[in-house]
Amino acid sequence: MVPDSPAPGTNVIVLAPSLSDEKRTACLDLLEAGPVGRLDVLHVTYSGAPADLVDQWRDHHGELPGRMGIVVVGDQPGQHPGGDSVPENVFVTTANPNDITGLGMRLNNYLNDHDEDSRLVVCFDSMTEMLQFAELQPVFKFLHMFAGQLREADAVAHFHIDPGAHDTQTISRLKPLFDDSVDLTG
Amino acid sequence: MPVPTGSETLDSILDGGLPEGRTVLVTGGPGTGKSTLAMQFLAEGLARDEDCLYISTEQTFDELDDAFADFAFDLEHENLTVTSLHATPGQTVDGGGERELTLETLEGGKMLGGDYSAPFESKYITQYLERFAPADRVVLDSVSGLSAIGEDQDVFRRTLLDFIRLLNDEFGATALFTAEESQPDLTQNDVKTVAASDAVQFNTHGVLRLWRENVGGDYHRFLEVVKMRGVDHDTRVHEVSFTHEGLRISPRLRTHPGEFVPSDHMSTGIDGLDRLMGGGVVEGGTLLLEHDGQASPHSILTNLMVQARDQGMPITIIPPVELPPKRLRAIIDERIGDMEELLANDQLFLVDFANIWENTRRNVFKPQEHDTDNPAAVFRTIDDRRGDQSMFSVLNVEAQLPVLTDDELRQIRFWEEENLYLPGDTSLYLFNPATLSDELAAFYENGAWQTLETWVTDKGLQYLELKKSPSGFMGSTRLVEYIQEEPYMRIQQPPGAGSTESTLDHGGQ
Repeated sequence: MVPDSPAPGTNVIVLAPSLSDEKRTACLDLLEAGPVGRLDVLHVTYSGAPADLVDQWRDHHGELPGRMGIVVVGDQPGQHPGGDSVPENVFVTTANPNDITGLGMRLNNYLNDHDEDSRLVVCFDSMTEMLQFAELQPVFKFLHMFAGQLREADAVAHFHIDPGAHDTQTISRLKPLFDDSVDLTG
Repeated sequence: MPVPTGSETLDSILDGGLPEGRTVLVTGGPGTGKSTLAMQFLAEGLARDEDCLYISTEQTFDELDDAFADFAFDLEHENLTVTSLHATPGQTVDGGGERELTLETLEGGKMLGGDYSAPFESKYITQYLERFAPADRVVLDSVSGLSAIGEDQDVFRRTLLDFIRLLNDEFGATALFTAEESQPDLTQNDVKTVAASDAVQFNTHGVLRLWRENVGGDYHRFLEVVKMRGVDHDTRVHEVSFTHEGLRISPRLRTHPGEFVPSDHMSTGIDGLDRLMGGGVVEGGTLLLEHDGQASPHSILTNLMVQARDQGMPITIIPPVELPPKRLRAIIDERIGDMEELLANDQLFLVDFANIWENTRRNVFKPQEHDTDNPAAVFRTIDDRRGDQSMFSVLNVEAQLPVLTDDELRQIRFWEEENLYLPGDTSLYLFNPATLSDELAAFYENGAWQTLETWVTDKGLQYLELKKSPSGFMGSTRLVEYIQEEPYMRIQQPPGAGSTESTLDHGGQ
């Protein structure tokens, strides 16, 4: 169901119900875009806990990637979501869901320190949640910009969306932003 | 630990350097050396293997490279990051498509990606800068370039406070901000602009000011420390020039030059004053004390007489006209010794030019009343009677005016120097320059080894400045206070002469 690892510079839209096992498996597979030690993994999550993300990665891949960053988008600013449960070399930052620009700045800061010798892989989870806080227009602009940056960085990125939560118009509006799509709605 | 600035003189002015982990503002007009001083501060950090960040808001990297071409600064140093920020119309992700003021680098770099940038707001600038953390030293050159942030001064001030917190607390850096000096009534497109230096100077830990001034037809650059919290800094104005290594700040006399040692000084009995003068009155020299008619010179001369007496020196006094006999007698009896006894034993000589003392005592001379008491004759008698002891003289100039012309005063002064004074004799001349012709006042100023001036401001505060001296803190103006215990007078400690605490706690002792 999940294709072989996409080529560098590809942005993939993953259509799957938010809490499905298929979604989680597809996600982990999509992140495996090279030797684990040479990966630079960036998670953008609206509802995941950093410790869980690290655990899931370890269960699936064994060792941690060369570099890992988690941006937690939540409406409790200032709170450090990682706590002590996240290994030191996993960078955790927070962003305000009502401030798309601020999220963009956080992501920029992470991309700025990306080492070109490693492969950048990105999971954006999810557009459905992003659309609960912002209008389609700014979300579209943001994704257009972010996808462009990732393409330029030769990243392998995927963006989650739950098709059940949106009308078809929204989905078809967003789809052209991506190079590939994975549909797990069956 | 103070953070060295890259200028040894500035370090010594600041008692070691900039306060660590704090932000200091450098204000000044265009071309006064703000950026150079800032870059010099970073160069010093680089030389110490520290991480440095230069945030430019007005000049691109290439422009900076040009501007610093003549200096020894290495903009390509691996520990130096140069970035720029400025406000420019652009597109934001949140905006409805119309252009608004956005944050970009001066090289045109967008803060987000594609064609989008962040609005030119405090939080996005802060978020952008976070990528450069941590750093040891940060320069923001200049805050004036960020004034587009606030429609009003409060927003701008809060923004700068956020930056200061970010750099000091998050980065752990010692920071230097530059700002154009505030110009009153400066308007841009009919809108009064926020004077950057005004908005930020209250938030920063310290303020250094640079300016240019025409001195005798040439422009000279100057620096002063306007404030530096908790630092016992030099408060004087220093001259500044540019060199290959950056600004050169000329040192000023603040300690004993080689040819003087403390034993060559006679203590004034007032600790703060001794320190100000580099030890006290130069022994065998002449001190001139000028006052404005409001500030009292009496405490200084009383304390000097006490010191002279302690050393067994006979004292000659031409009492100040404003000091009535009863008052002077009380002072002498109380602080120096029994006046009658001192006069009788040739330890005190009083020359009563004003003719207000009873002429019944030995050693009270009245030049106005007796022709035989002409000044030269009087001083010859005094000289005879004091023998070979070193003498201390207190000579009020105004008191002699009713009797002597300017020319005669000059002659007497020369005569004293030539025929009266022994090598160990120390004298104090005092007057209010407003009561003398300019030429005569200048004559006394020329002849003095040391000059002190004291005056009262319109706020009612008395100050004292060391205007001339071979030692001490020349040009330093200090506050004068009167206290309940001996020596009844306190002079604010000169900068660097001791902690502020000791000035406040120990009555200047």
